[in-house]
Amino acid sequence: MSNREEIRKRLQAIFQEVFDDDELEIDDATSADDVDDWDSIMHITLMVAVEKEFGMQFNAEEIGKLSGVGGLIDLIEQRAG
Amino acid sequence: MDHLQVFLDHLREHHAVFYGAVAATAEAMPGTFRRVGAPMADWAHACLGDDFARVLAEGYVHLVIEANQAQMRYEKRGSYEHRSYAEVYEAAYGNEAFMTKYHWGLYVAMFAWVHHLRLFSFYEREFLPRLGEGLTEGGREVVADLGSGSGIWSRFALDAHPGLACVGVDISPTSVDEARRMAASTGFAARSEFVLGDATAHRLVEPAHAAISSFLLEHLERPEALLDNLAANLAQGGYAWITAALTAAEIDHITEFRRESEIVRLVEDAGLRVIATLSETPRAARSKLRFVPRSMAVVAQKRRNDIW
Ligand SMILES: C[S@@+](CC[C@H](N)C(=O)[O-])C[C@H]1O[C@@H](n2cnc3c(N)ncnc32)[C@H](O)[C@@H]1O
Repeated sequence: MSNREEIRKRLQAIFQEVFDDDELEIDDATSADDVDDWDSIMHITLMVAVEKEFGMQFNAEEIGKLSGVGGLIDLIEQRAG
Repeated sequence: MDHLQVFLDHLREHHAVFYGAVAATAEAMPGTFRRVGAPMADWAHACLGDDFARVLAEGYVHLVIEANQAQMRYEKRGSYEHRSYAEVYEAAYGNEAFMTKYHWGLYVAMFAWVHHLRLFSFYEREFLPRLGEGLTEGGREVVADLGSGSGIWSRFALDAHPGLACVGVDISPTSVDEARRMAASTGFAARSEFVLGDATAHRLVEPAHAAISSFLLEHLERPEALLDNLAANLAQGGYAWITAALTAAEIDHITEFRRESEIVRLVEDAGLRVIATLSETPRAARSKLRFVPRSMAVVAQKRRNDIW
């Protein structure tokens, strides 16, 4: 399994938990428009959960620019690499 | 050009996650949103030039992230992070990079947050009309704005009353510079003065016709010192507009107000008579949370004696 795919899977579990939806499937193209309730407050909750899961911290600028799953995976890959 | 729309388009394109709440505010209170947001976007454009939408959007997004993160930590801890005022000064008011974002972020929050727009409607209804009392044609009555930030509250008072001038006092050099720059670029320099100073101690040359202190109380270790000084700077019978945040954590909030009556009490103890109050919650407040951030406004009048 590629590194990206592994990150996506771990993210999917986080998304399901944060948005309280076990059916929620995400991929690179998923954006805030595709997920009900993905507003600014849920975004911060999501990012706190992502930081915890991946053991990394993002600054406000990085968090503020994200609008979809593809960008989030890029960010995690960059940080891990 | 419709600068408000330029800003909204920029926010939607570059910070999609943060756009929805602002669009919801515009939909919930379309008239007030435009009445407040359109001139503010024009003033920001006059002050910042064509890059204004980026500066406003980045400031706003930064503010929302910082505030929401602080609120989540507060919800877990059960109290504010209790920094000393000196620490907050170093991290925020005295830090130019931080303060520039914060300054423009707060500026946008004035029209982007529905609870702030509701406070603004209350301001238009309960405070601005009172300032007309005793204003003379061609006179130069002063409104003191303590902790003025961008000076936006007094700016709307100046817009409503051509006979009024403002003196803004702020401790942050960045905010004072930005407020002066905006007054100069929008033709208000002759009626606006912004001075660097401590709002708990600064005295005007003469008592002011009216006083404003918006969202400074919760930033202080001794909020009563601000209200005492506000009362000392206000002519007898003069009106005051005071706002504060309750159970709303931000990195620069020190005094944690839990109940509205605490603020009313402080205002009364400073020698003012409370005339009207309003307490509002943000649109997105979730009921399962222990702390719901609120914003409260008080319209008061300097008492003539102990009773009234
Ligand atoms: C939350 S902002 C409010 C700005 C503005 N009144 C508004 O409502 O948009 C708080 C402001 O108070 C200023 N401030 C903090 N401590 C102060 C003090 N002791 N004296 C004067 N200004 C102070 C900060 O620099 C900041 O501009």
